[in-house]
Amino acid sequence: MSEETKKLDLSGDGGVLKEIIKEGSGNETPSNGCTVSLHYTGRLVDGTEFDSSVGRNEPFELELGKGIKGFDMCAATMKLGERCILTCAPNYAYGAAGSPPSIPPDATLIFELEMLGWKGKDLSPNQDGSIELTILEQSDKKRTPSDGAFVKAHISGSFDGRVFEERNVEFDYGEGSAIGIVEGLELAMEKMNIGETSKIKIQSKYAFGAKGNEAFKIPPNATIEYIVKLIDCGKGLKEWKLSDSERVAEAKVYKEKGTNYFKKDNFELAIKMYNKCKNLLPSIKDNTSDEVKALKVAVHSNIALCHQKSNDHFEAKTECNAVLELDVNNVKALYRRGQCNLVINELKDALEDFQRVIQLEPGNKAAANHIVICKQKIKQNKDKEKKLYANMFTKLAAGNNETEPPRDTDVLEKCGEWSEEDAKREADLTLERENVIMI
Amino acid sequence: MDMEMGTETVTEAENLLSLIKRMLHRRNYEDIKMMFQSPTVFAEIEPHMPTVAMDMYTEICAPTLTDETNVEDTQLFDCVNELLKVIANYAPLQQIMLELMEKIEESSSIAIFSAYLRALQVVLLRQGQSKPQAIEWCLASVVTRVRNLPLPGYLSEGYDEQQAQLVEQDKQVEELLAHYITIDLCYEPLLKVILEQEVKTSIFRDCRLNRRNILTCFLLQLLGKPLALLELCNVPTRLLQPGQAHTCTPSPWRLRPELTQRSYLQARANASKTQSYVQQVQHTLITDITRLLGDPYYLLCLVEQRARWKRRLDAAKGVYEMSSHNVFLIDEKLPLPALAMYYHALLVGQMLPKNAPKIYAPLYLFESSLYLVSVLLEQPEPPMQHCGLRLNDYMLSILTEPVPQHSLDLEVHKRYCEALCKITGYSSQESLRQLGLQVLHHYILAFEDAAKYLILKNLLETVQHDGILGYLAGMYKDLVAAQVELKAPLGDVYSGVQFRSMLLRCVCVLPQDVKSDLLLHSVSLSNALNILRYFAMADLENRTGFWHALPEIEEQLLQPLGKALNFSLAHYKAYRERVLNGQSTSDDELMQKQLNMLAVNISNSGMDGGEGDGHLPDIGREEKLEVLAGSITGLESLRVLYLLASDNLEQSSIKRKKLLQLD
Repeated sequence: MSEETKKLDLSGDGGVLKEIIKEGSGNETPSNGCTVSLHYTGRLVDGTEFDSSVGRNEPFELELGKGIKGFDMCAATMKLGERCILTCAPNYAYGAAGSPPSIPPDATLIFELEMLGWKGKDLSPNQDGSIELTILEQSDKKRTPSDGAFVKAHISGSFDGRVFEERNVEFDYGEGSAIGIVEGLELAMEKMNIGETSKIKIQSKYAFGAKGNEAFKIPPNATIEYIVKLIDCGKGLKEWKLSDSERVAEAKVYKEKGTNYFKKDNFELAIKMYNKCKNLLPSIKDNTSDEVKALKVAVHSNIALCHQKSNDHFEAKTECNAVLELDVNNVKALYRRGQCNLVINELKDALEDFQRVIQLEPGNKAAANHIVICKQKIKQNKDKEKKLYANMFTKLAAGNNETEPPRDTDVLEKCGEWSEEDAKREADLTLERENVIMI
Repeated sequence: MDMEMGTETVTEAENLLSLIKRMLHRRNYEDIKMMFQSPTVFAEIEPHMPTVAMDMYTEICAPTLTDETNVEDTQLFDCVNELLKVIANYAPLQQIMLELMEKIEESSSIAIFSAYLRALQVVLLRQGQSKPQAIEWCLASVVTRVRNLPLPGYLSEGYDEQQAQLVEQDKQVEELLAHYITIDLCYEPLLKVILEQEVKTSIFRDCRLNRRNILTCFLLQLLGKPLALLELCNVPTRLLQPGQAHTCTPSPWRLRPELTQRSYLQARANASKTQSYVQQVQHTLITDITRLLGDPYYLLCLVEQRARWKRRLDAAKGVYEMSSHNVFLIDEKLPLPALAMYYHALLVGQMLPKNAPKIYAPLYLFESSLYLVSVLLEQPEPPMQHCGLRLNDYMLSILTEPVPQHSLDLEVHKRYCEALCKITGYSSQESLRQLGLQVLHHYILAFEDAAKYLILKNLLETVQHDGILGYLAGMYKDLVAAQVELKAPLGDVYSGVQFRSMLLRCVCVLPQDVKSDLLLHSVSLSNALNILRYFAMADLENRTGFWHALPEIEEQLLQPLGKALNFSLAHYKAYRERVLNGQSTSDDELMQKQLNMLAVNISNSGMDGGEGDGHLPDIGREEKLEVLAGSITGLESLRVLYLLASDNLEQSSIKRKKLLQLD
């Protein structure tokens, strides 16, 4: 075999030639987007060494796709442990400009490489390997889905080698859960370019969690794998380009979306959409129009309702407060806040809210009923407290008498003894204080 | 028996403390020194040191190491300073660490700061590789102290090159640099230990919280403010000098930005070999960070991940600000402005080590750096904006081929253009505005033709600054002109539909038709007229399609502009008459508008003394006449240009007819 035939032409035009000097193990090679770890030494054709990882005493890490063309091409064909000589023509390296001072213009570069290993992209928010992406088919495009952007993709999910779902999906980014896209998959898609096909390995916390998925026959705490082709995605909303009226129009779209999710009992997504609507609306300081104010009131009020439905009454109360900041006499918000206060046992506040509703709408029967409930609960609580304190102080007094040795001077003598009356007064005072947590 | 021995030891330790106190009282500093330096004596007292160290600290060091002692009794201060270093070797680690952290943060002078920092050095080395968080907290106290040092106000407001040469003479800056030099001495042994002892075991970098990464982040944090405000080195040759008018003729500089890298290298080679203190401090930090990193570009790889995608916090899944297993992705540990300053110093300052990898694609480096450039341009302080511009100019200079259009899909280009145009148009620093324009020019030229067109069109549609609009329109004309001169078929973006769209939608535009404020738009209008003149004369063959667009241009620009010029000139002349006759009060609102424009111009030229309220005080008759004369001259210049353009169009039209007849 001649010298020339040993060299593999990776680019097809003789610009990137590879000569294997030590075969690697296995059949796998790194794909684009993988981070490879390797040792290399780069020389000019006259033998001058211009760069070497060996000299730096540590392996070189490179995400494939970010190196000079020839180097990337070669690294992507290397097996584990393989050593090779790479010859890179100028148009696959630094071209006519060179890289002064060490690489002259139009320089052919010769590298000696040794592949030490590679790993996929860690896309998990905590960088703990719970979402790992490997690119199967690279794309030149750089557009990735952004929040709210239309996404079209083909997904194929598998567990333990068995495909459990394969379908085309179309959704607005951020609303994937509405069509059963697992969180990890949506997170990974945010970092995929249009046209790219990738394999995504997702650990259970970003997939089906501790519950698993009965329909797909996925057991609890299972790591699953998806192969995704991102077919298309929109540009997402360019908030900075929008005028106030356009912002309001966009906000209305999100409000509508929120309402749709609410109707489907998907409160999590409904809150997400309403929040987007809220964030899009111009601030009251900059825009005092009635329409903006009315929208803000409606959105806060709807978020409050969603939180109520999700049994998150503290958050719901916060949203009601936001409504009341904009509109002090908003009956809905007062009523909802009253309900929240009732649930979280802020009975006095709840009573005040319902009484305010009655002031504004004397015929509001629901509020009137709630006032009765509040009063009853307050009475019940007072009675409970009375008993509790009465018993507590009596027991304390008794306990003190039994265990404590007689003192020379008893301070309590001067203060007088704790009577039933004192205990009642203390209990009443405690109830009057705001935000006291009774233990 | 054991108890007796224990009691005995405690008593001996207490005796040692009393003895040192007595010796200090009697000023026997040399004897104290001897106690700790003589191997035989020290061997006797060493076993008691762990017991008594904290007491020594609280009873001797803490009360003695004060500015007062430093001034009034230097010997005592020095002696206790040495004692503290010995104590740091024996005191319980956690306790002494907490004490030192507090003292360092609150230190009132460099002397106190140095004393406690010396002790901290010992403590950091004692800590070893365990509990890197403890090391992190200790180093954080150092950063806090440095950030709280008082600085002259002008550092944040910006200063010119001449002022920059005097910056180091400022007392507060001197103090700041002294702190940096002290810090450098403090971490040096730790760095040495890390580099010598910590050997990589995995083939991939360990980015978790460990001693090496903590020290890297600490050093990078030191490169942020306040040191970043002192960035004044390696100013490359400017393409435009202050006061020099910009010419629109295509030149190698303007069409080949890659030549600028040579200019950087040349500037560096020609630069004086002496280094300022700032440069020395920077040099040390950069060198040390690079030694810790190995591959200096490593952190650049993480920038996109941090800046492009928001990390979604989720308490339910344990995702918090600080929960990332990669410390370099946490903003608090590695602030992006500081990281940007690292790459600025490394690349613009030519501190890149010779063995830095030459594997990365220039396009990738350029795109990644754009995030950092944007971060710097968005900083409020002009010195950091300056660094952003220079870093950007450098990164543009390393590109070996045109940036492809799909790169514009990255949102960062929009963010960058916004920040750059803001600086170029409105910075209070003249040098920044000039450099901004130069960088904007290089940036646009770095792309392939279709992308150049897209950028220019987008900017012309969104930018408000009239000067920039005029400049960009001129750039488009230059690009088309260069293509026209080549005699080869013109590309899509330089002819036909796209050329027509650019001219009609972006260049030949009179914003409010006849009612437009011509003075406010005088730069862009002048440029538009000059562009019309150019194409009228240079493209008789209609290769661009200019002559097809001309009727519409006449309708939407030339005709209303002619009318507007007549109206405006008549108006200003009448106004001048009224001022001359003393009947001008009814026009004061217009005059105020003119004056406000003048105020904007003044603030743009960096001549204002600070922030004004936008209103000039009432002016007298003479001043009014002067302002009016300026306005009339401006309008007349525009009219001259308008007449020239009309004339050129007419002449060229006749020539074209003749040419067509010949054909």
